[in-house]
Amino acid sequence: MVRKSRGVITALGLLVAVLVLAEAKTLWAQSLDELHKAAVKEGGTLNFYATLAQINAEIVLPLFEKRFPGLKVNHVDATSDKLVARAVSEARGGRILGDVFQTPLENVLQMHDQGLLLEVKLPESAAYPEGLKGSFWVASDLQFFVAAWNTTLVKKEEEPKSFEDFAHPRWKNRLIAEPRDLEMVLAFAKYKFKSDEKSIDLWKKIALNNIEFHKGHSQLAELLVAGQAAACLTCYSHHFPIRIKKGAPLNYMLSEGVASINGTAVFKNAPHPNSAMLYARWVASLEGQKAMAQGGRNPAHPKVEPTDKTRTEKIYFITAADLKEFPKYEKIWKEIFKLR
Amino acid sequence: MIEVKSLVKIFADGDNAGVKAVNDISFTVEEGRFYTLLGPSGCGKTTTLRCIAGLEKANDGEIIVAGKKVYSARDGTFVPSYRRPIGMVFQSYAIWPHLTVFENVAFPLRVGKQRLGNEAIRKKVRGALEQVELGSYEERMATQLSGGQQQRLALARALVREPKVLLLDEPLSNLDAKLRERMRVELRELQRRLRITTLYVTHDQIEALSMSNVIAVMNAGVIVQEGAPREIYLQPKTKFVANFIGSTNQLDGQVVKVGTDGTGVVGTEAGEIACALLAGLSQGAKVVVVARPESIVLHRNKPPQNENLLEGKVGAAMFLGEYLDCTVEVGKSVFQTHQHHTLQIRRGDPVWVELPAGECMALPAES
Amino acid sequence: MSTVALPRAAKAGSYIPRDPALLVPLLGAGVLIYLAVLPLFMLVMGSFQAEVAPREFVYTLKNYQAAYASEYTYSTFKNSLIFASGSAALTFILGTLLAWLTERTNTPLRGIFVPIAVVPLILPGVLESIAWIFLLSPKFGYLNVWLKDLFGLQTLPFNVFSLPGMIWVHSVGQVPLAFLMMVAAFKSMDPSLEESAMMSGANTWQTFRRVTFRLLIPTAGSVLLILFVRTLESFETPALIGIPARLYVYTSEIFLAFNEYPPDYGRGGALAVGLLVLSALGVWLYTRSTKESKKFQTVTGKAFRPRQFDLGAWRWAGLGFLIVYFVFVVLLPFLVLLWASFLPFFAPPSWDGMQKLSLENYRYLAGFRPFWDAMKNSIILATLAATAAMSITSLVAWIVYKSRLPGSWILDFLAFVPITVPGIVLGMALILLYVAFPIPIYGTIWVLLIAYVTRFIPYGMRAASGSILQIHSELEEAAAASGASWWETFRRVTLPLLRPGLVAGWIYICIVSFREFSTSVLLATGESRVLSILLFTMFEQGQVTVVAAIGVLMIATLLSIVALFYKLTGRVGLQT
Repeated sequence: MVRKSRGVITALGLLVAVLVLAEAKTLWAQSLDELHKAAVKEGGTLNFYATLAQINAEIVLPLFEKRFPGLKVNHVDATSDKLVARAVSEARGGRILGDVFQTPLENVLQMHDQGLLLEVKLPESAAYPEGLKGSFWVASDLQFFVAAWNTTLVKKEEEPKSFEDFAHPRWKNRLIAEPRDLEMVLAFAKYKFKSDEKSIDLWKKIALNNIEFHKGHSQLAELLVAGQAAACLTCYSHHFPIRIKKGAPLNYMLSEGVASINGTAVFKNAPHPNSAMLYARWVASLEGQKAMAQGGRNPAHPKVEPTDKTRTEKIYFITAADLKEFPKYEKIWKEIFKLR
Repeated sequence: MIEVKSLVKIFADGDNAGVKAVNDISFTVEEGRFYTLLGPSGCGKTTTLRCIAGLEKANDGEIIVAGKKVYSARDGTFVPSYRRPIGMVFQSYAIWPHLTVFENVAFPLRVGKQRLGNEAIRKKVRGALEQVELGSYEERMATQLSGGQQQRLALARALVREPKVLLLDEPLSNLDAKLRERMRVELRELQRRLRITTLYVTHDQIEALSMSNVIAVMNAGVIVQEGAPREIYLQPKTKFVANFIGSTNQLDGQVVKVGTDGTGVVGTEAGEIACALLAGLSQGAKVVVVARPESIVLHRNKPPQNENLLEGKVGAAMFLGEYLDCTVEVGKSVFQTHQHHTLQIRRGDPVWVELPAGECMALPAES
Repeated sequence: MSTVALPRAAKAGSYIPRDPALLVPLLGAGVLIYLAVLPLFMLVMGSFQAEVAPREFVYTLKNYQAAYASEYTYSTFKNSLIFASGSAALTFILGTLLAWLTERTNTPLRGIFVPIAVVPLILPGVLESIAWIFLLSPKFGYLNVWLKDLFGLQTLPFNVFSLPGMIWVHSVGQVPLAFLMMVAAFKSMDPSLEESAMMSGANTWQTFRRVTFRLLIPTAGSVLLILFVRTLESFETPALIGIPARLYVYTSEIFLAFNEYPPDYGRGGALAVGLLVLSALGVWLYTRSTKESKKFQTVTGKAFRPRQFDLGAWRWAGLGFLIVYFVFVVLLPFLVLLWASFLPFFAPPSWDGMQKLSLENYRYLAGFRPFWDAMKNSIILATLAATAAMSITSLVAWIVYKSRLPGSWILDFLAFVPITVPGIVLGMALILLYVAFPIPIYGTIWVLLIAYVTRFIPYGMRAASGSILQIHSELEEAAAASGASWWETFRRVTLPLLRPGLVAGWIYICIVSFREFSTSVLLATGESRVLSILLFTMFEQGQVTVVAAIGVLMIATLLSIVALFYKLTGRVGLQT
């Protein structure tokens, strides 16, 4: 009796395995071109819910459309939290309208918590290290938090070489930063010092210099350009090449920086599933990542270099696991700087 | 033309909630007549008018205008204002400030069921404006007119569509004395000429007396007395009416003798007075003798006849142009009198006060 | 001598029209209820949820506890009250003074002041705050530096990062609202009331205080109510200026709650409901005290020439004040913007800065398709929203203040509710409602139109109410007695007399529709792009000076629309 059931179970198991492999084979075997044909058949539209900035999107998306003629990208653009709110509300209201979701990792995880994302491992994700992918997402590009300064207000000998330099009293009342960038203390604790105490210690010393906080990384860059402060501690590296090219008196530190990950995911029950898969796979591929670099983003693919020098030498990645510890480090950050 | 039967209006909210503003009144205004509701503020006269206009909905009773039932409590009829054949002049004139004089008057012709051509409208409006002597002001903004002109404008507007009934709510109260006097005459002339049934509401007895065919004196929601002006003035049936109709002087007393032709003698603390007696008064009845200020004559020297002469002392004397307003203290009472302006008297002078028998009347004291 | 007596008060709203056309205002009320109830419902329901963004409802009161009993509650409330009261008071005083100078005195040049006063409203919030930071920052603020040099001071005189600084920046942005509404009120005043005061010997100041001001109380009350609540729920200034100053207010809390992930409907909702209760109280008090008040009925049939006060020599002081206001509040921020629009990146005004001036940004915009799409959409939405909102609110204001419908104050409350609903909540409510709607309006500009009308009805209502209260009942009664049905009366008498309020409301809504961001961002798509979002995203991307150029173009466009509107609606008010 037991032998018989064991046999049945094994047979069933083999059947399942074959089916799964077949399914996977279908997935893997489908080349991008086959997906392309299917995408055009299903309507040729891609609803792209992404925080990709306009100036980047206007280069990257046409490259996608050129590579896959017959497809039109409908870019739904908003801040990441609003995108989540929107997608969630639409789902609650009874319709899924989005195809692809591409935002900071934090928000991608939120979407997953809401059960809105497809569990799928893209073949292209094999090229990425463990920290830059998951069971339902792949990194699309990176954002680097760096220190930057106004060159007319900072003498050559003062230019910082590392973050420790900012603990020096000469920076008193000359620094600005973003109040929500707790990633800094987290990343330093986990990767720079590999010790909570050392990280807290450094940031406490920096706090003695009376940091002025402003919301919005773009605003920080603007205030820096205008000379409202001498240096910024938590600016996005990709904000600067454009301004410097236009002649702004800015410079930034590339010795070390914190990297936050932006990820791509596909909506579960997307209205255009083939277009969605096509885009997700393309943007994760070498070709897509090169397009991202061309568009001005920091590609996540280890083999693709950014167009401008926006990647730091030492990189402290904020991984998916780290995201889970945000509440703890948020408290620490707020305490150090006496924020609310 | 206007029939009001057993009208009742109770206010549901505000300061007077539950009070019967109009308490079961009935009256009829005959075609072409000028009928005035006269009374102090709060007596219900304006409320009655507004019920007839359809601006208020009464609680009970019936109203018939130009033969058509516009309100009936019994069968639930209520014809809205804009369907009643009325023209109304408001106390504030309610001239529309955003329209010209012409447009103000043209308004009634532009709304409602009738569809008149522009030419017809122009003719009627011009006619109405001519009637009130505002013909040359057509293009002015209504707000550019003076008070008196605006009042005439309101009148023209009320008359332009030749309504069956004209309702006026204290239209002269905001004018100065001279203008008021003039308008009284003009209004009356206009009404006579047009022969339009008019219901007029006022608290000013002079207006009522000089303009009306019939006056209904109201107090606390009821009609106290109804009659021709002369009747109301000379034969007030109650103290209230007497007081209200004209500033009047009163002397308390008791009937001493009842005469034959409606006259008698009343004994007062200042002496015995011969006067007219209201029908129904018997000997010994407590009465009050009333006399108009203009009826009382003051003499510096004692006149020959002895009848109805009282001794008094001059209180104050005010020269008012047409007459001398003179108060006289007689015993405990103070009389107000109007004397010819040539009378030379001063405060404190002793005078003889004559109450001509034919011009005073004894009324029941409790009325 | 003319006897100037007050018109005897007509019994309030006693005119009961019996008319099928009454369906029209009821329809207006119906639309209002439809628009206001859903977001309200969502807000209140959310405040009772136990779990953040749950999929089913589990009710609890712990959100209220968290919202109102936390350790920060006291300081937050204190800051909020100071911020809101200070701002409401300052805005009101400035707005009324400006309105009075413009409408009721003989201050020279006052005619051009109306369009100018409205400019600060047009400046996008982000840019306005930035401009003020650049002017008044305690470290490098240009105005500060200039004043310091001018007066030889030791330290910089102004610090924008402070509670007074917050109050100043926020008030400056709100003065146009107060100004527009008070102008409408001043235009509709019966001068005979003031004349009689002056005949009795009162001087200009006394007359203003005893008569003019008293008559303005309903509009003043309206304005103060709206200013107070609006400040309590505004977050731009507290975010941009409060955070660097470490000053936290009520709305920062609400904003933070709704903008964190997942939106903490619980805590945010509990806080917003508090605001709702406060507003309900305010509206109820207001309606109660003004509804029965015939004494506010200043638009009568009588002589109607809002008279000019002759200020004598003081009128030059009036002009001086207008000029100072103009320079500091309107011109300076605008100049900062204008300067920036000609630069490749923002730099302080300087001689080398001058070298870099160019028309590059404008050239870029000329060829930038999304900009033209957004501009077109914004103009269409703004004008339609303003018209729709004012149509609905004039009807509803009539119901609330002129008819005798019992309980109509609830309509006034509903009309006020959208102010207390944070933009993001409204956006989400609308998504829920319309994403699967049979008529495909989701994703088009029509759903945005619904959002804008809903959001701005409160302003329309206050503008319309202030005006409608001033219309004497007898003016409508006279129309009825002249044979006009309800609709004819409304169209020919009420609406024209409402004009000052309608115009003020229309202009205001048109302008703020351009700026509306927090709801638009949830509902707009590629086809229904609007200017405020474009501006924001471009700013985030670092194209600040292009954004400045957009700002300059926005100002030019809106000023033209306003000027055109003025002209089309004829003389605003009832001047002779």
